[in-house]
Amino acid sequence: MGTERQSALRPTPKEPQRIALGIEGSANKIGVGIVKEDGSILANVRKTFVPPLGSGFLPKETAQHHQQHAVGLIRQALEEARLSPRDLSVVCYTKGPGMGAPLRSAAVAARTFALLYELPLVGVNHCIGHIEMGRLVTGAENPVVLYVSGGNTQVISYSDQCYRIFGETIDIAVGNCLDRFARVVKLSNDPSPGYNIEQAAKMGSRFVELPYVVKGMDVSFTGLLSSVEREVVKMNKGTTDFSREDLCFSMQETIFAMLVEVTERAMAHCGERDVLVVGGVGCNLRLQQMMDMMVAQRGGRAFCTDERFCIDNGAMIAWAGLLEFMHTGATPFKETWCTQRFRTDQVHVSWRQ
Amino acid sequence: MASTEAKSDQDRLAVAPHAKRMRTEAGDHEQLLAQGAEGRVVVTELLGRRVVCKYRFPKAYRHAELDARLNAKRLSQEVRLMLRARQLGIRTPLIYHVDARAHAIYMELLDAAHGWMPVKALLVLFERDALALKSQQRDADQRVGDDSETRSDVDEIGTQLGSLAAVLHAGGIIHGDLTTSNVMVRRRDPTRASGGQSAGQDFEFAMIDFGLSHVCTKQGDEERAVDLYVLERAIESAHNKLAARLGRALMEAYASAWPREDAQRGARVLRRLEDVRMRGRKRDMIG
Ligand SMILES: Nc1ncnc2c1ncn2[C@@H]1O[C@H](COP(=O)(O)OP(=O)(O)OP(=O)(O)O)[C@@H](O)[C@H]1O
Ligand SMILES: [Mg+2]
Repeated sequence: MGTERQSALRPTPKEPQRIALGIEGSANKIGVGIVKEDGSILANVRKTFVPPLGSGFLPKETAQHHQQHAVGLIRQALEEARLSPRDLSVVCYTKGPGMGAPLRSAAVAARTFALLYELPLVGVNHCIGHIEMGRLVTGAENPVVLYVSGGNTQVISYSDQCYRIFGETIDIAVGNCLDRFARVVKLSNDPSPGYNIEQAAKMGSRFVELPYVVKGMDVSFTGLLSSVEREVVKMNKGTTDFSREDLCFSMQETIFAMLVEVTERAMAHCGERDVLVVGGVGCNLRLQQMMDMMVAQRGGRAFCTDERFCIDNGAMIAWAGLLEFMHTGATPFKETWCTQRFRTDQVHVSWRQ
Repeated sequence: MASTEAKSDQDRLAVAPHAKRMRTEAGDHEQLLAQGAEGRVVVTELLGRRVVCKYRFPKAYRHAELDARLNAKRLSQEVRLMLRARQLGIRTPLIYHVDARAHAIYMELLDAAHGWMPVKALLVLFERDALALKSQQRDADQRVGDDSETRSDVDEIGTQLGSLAAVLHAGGIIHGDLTTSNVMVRRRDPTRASGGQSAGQDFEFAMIDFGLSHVCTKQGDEERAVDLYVLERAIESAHNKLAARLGRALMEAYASAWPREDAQRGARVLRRLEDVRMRGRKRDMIG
């Protein structure tokens, strides 16, 4: 087993490097990426479905959006990489977790493409995609991972070929909480609600006290969300001095402090020094800054990525899928379905010791 | 290694002015026990006695107002709930002195020299032993039989953790950070605990780290269930190999350790725990 693994990583000169194409579509972005076995990223293109002001993205419209763009994006990615489908070794797609209809749209695109060009398929866990992409891009070897996105809030640490979840939200995800708040205060969804909260927060200065709920390594956001919604009602009635910007500021300060604290708890609990932040919320610069300060006090390092890799993309699915392909093999065609529920700790991480 | 460690400690102390003062008072005796999540735990000297000092230094990343509020609140919660837990008959370190301005608590040292260690460390030893035992047996080409020693110890740890949680909960306390790092354990002196000792009395326990603790609401089932959920996941993530066994012993003991007049309550909390777990499983909906 050990030797097999080695030779899989070190190709002989005659053998060309394996190349994977990955398709991601678990939420409101559809992305296609192409990655080579040495970790070089040959293409990474994506389109985002932006719902109108005041609403979130619905499964049906999002799925239609993905179906519309899948073929164009695959073509564009191949062009950018200067490759033809015949040069690929494997097609990877997001198996879950995510929203059913958008997931299925991307999976159908992947299956069709794979059948058309007689390529093997690999179904990838979305969260694992984020983690492996983060490790590839930043070079972080064995960090505690904070995974924060629209649908997920997890603190993860690796051991024994498994990414174990140490802490998570016990109600809604952090991105979901931010998005819902943005809707209440009528911030635009373009490019994303989180980005607009971040910009507005820069102009806020007064701190509004909001519920800060940490339980062990878990966090909870519903109390905070209803509390800040009450503040918005007051603001609209003109019965408070706090502005929308102040609320954005206080919201970020409180929520991110909770996230950094539970990350630190996990670090203390498992004796790690480094942190990797992944997921869409991870491109928030204030969160990155706070994380930097925390690890500095502990003598460790914080690894963050920018929006190309933090936000859902095809390359992360290609890369995680390629790792699995090289160490475990392809997913049997019969099993190339997708699922809304697929926990990070269910994946056997065959490519790590 | 040791010297660079000490140097960076020195640097980091710059953020906790009172710590410097302590260092001069205590001379060179101060020794870092743990850099916990929020605070640092050091062994130092107070009135000629070796004690633990746990202090929370300001977190640079946190908004100053929020940070001050949290530190003050957690210090007072920790002191109050440690006392309250003692009143329930749960062993906790004795508190000798509280310096509220420096966010510091001086308390009894549960000394490693007297066998004390976090449950987490003990379980890590068990996991190692179990592995060693297995490979030994394989080497000797024996069938994997009843490695009863380690196994019954694991059961007892689970059982005792379960009853500790039940006593705490029945007394209205939510620990808030129930993990295997926050319960200390030591094996009872085998020479004194011989013969007459019944099974389940091989270890003694003490609870620490009440910074996130609070008195629960009158209803409180949800809060208790979440407290158990935190413990359950701490065990699953940190002691994967023993998790199933520990969990079973723990839940059984939890249900049966509630006082007789409240016996229904324990079972109700466990049912609620089911709901909390379900929510956990359903949560991964959107990537
Ligand atoms: N009284 C004590 N005697 C011996 N060891 C102790 C004592 N108190 C704490 N420790 C050791 O220090 C570690 C950290 O202590 P504690 O859990 O109180 O701090 P923490 O985890 O930083 O707190 P918090 O979770 O509030 O941030 C413990 O896991 C234990 O190993
Ligand atoms: Mg602790």
